[in-house]
Amino acid sequence: MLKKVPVIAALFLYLATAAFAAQEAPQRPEGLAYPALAFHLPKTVRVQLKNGMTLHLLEDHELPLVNINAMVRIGSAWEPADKAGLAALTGTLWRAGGTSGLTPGALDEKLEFMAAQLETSIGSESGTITLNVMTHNLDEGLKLFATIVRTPAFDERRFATLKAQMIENLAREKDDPETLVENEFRRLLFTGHPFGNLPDTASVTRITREDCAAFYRQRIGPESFIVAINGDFNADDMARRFEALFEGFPAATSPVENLPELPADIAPGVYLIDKPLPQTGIRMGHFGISRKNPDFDAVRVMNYVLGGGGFASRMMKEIRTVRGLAYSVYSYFGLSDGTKGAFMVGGETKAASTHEFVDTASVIMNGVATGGITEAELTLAKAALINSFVFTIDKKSDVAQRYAWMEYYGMPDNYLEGLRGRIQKVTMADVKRVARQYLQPDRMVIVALGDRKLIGEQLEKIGPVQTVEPSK
Amino acid sequence: MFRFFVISALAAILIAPAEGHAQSSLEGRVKEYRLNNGLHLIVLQRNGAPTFAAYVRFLVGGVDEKTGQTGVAHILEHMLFKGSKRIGTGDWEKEAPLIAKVEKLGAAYDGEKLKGVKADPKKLAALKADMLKALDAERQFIREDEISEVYQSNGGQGFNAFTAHDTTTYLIKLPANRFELWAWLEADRLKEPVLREYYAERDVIMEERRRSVDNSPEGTLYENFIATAFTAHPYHVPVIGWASDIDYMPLDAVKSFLKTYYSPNNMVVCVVGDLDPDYVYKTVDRYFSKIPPQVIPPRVSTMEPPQIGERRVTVRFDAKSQAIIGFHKPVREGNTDYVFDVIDYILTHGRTSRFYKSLVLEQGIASSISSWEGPGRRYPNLYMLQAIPREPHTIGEVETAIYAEMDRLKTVPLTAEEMEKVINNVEANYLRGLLSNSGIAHYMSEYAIIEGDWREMVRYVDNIRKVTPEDVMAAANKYFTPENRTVATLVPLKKEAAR
Repeated sequence: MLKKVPVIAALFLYLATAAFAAQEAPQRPEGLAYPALAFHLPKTVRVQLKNGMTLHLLEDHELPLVNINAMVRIGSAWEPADKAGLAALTGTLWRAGGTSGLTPGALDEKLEFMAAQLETSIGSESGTITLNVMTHNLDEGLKLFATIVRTPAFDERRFATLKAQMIENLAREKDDPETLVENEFRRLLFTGHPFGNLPDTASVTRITREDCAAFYRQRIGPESFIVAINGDFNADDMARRFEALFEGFPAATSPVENLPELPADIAPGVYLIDKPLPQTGIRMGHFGISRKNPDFDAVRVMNYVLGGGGFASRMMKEIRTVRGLAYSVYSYFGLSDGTKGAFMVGGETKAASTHEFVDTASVIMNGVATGGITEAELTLAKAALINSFVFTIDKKSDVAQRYAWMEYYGMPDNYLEGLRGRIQKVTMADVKRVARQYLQPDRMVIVALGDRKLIGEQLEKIGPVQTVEPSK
Repeated sequence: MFRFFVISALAAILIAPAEGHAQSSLEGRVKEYRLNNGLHLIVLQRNGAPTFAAYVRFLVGGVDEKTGQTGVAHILEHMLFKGSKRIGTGDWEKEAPLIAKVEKLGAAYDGEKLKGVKADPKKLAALKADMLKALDAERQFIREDEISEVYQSNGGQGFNAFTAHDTTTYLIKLPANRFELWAWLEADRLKEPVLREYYAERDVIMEERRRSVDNSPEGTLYENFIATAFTAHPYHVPVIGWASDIDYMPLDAVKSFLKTYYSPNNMVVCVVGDLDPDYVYKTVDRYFSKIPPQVIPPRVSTMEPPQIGERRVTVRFDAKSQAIIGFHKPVREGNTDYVFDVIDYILTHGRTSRFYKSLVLEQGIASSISSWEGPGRRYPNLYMLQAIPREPHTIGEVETAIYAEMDRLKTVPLTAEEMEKVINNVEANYLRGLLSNSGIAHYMSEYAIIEGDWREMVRYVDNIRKVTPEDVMAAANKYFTPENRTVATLVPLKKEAAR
């Protein structure tokens, strides 16, 4: 991570050559010539503290702000099956519940008076702690950041409020068709795995404050922290501060192990959530691939053409542009780093065209799986992925986070530098192979949220329909 | 909407000229140009990654629509992605007669369908079949979504557009060496757009409406809310349009809207990124200066009459209860904008805000209370709250508690510490707004087109500082009255579904 940055002399070449030639504009955009776009990848300074905590530091003095984004190994993938929601609730309470020396209210006042943003959350495979603070408040901001990381208090009253709120929000998620159909898809696809064990009223009701405190104590320790810091500071000074702030931070008592393996197979089928809505929400798919799969780049190219590339994708062109069936339609490979994630096709269409949507999407999948893609599509997808690579470094905060993410998930050091080259190397044969291997249009979990009276028979044409009751 | 962030994000320049930081001299670095045809160009060079963000805003939106043609601004926005005589077609000369045929059949179909129960089903079916056949013939020349493909293959990100009550905005981010591509494509679709594939796109927009309104408890509630809060002023129509207006929108209405309002003298272009302003200006001049200006028709003159009694509307929906509460208020009148922004910070921003502390934490009756200003800012508007109760508490309890907090503003002055907290947050949010090219382009272009001058924002923090606790009490007394209030409440359709 501490490689020297290659110095590129022609960094602003395109400006020099853009000196004005008042020529006629070409008839087509292909007639335009573009100067080379030269840039280098900013690199973070990587520092490992004595306690095992890792920092990725990137100075950026444009604005008087410091931004911290820390990742730590914890997640809902490791919560007890009967207490689904424990990770999420712990993630919220962590910051909101005060510290050993500050009541929740006092902590809120301190932070908000200096307009500092300090937040915590726990997702499925990682937890994050973020701080955004103006440079002149850095001392105080860092102190509070460290205190929250090391000695959160998990205040009993805040716990009660946040738990009640979580139960309320779960009930309200069912009013939002997008969230409801997506949650049920995950539940059905990942049955028997923590990814499919989503919180409900009963599981959240079982959670106690002590559960949250214990979940934190067992999992949180310096050794799994990867901290991205960017902004207006001196890297050496920041490293010294962190060394001091986190001295004596004890190791996790029970660090997380690898993710549980996914079940051997999915339960393909057609599932209906009956709700009298004018528009049907649809999610269909199967297991995807891990981010570490060597085919990841070829799959990215393939999925760009299938349904990942917006208006340049077959799904969008056929289902939206040509047939006018949907406002949004897409396919998606994601997002698990420890194991396979989901492959999912999603969108929504008026009740009357439910069958046409599902059928058209399946036909498009089948076309790519059996016939591959065209040369023009391959060229476009690769050009899009390669030419947009510069946006990887568009924001400095993204750059620092990206390096932290790479290390957290054990990606190779040269992952970013090599990305364009790897995309360039993807061949037609690769795309054909991964399409055949990873798309299974005939074996999908298909979930439709809509009005049974209007869509029941349409769904029967796809396969026997099983009715699903969303959990309470 | 959410002007709050816009203003606070851009305003602290004068107040916090953070020593030694490149952005502190933002005002001196922004270059402004006006082409002969009236096009207003704002450029900020920012040395970072070799990228740029470009925002094109037209001063036209939902408020400029005629009765019966609601949604036309938004439909036009979609149609501007369909290409031109050079983009989206393999051969325009050959396509032109075919598209004319599709349009004629489409209009005939709409005309027949409009007869309602008297429409002839056979004729309808025949017209539809003929239109689809004509479209199939045209398709051999259509290159679907070509403008998106060209942008994407050149590395474009976030190619999109959005329509609001006040403005219509087109945006994209590109690698910096592609600036001329941006100029080529944007000038091309402004000069000679072709509104092809109209009838399929109208169906897409109906799906967009179902998704954002008819399927959505919040969308339906908000649509009913603004239709109740405004009686005379066109802020009362949904930007996406009433369903039947979309369904029957004549293509001619869309074309006429385009010709009337998409004019260089009615637009602001804002470019932020790693580009030399002089180069940007010369390129924009080369590509856009030959587009002739139009005479923009007189703007909306209708004024919303003062509200003289509380208005309430109920929406029955298969969802849990919530409410939207709004109070009419002026815009750009004295210091009222700034007073409301102070009030808004105090009431709803963060865990120390009054609503959060009182209703969420202490009383435990609400799940959240949020706020915003809208529907636009070109005309007098509303200060709005969205209230989400927490079971077993009712929306009625939450409403009562909200008014109690608002009443406290009428009699108890804000403390100096509260005022200082507002200022600190205004300053920090300003800086956070400067972190990305697109963030800056968004704010600058919005300010320029709505408020008339992006520099207005540099006066903002000073104006916030001038707000006194007495101003807050006076405004609260004047505007937070039952007579000036509109409340839309969502009532669960089925009692059992509410749980």
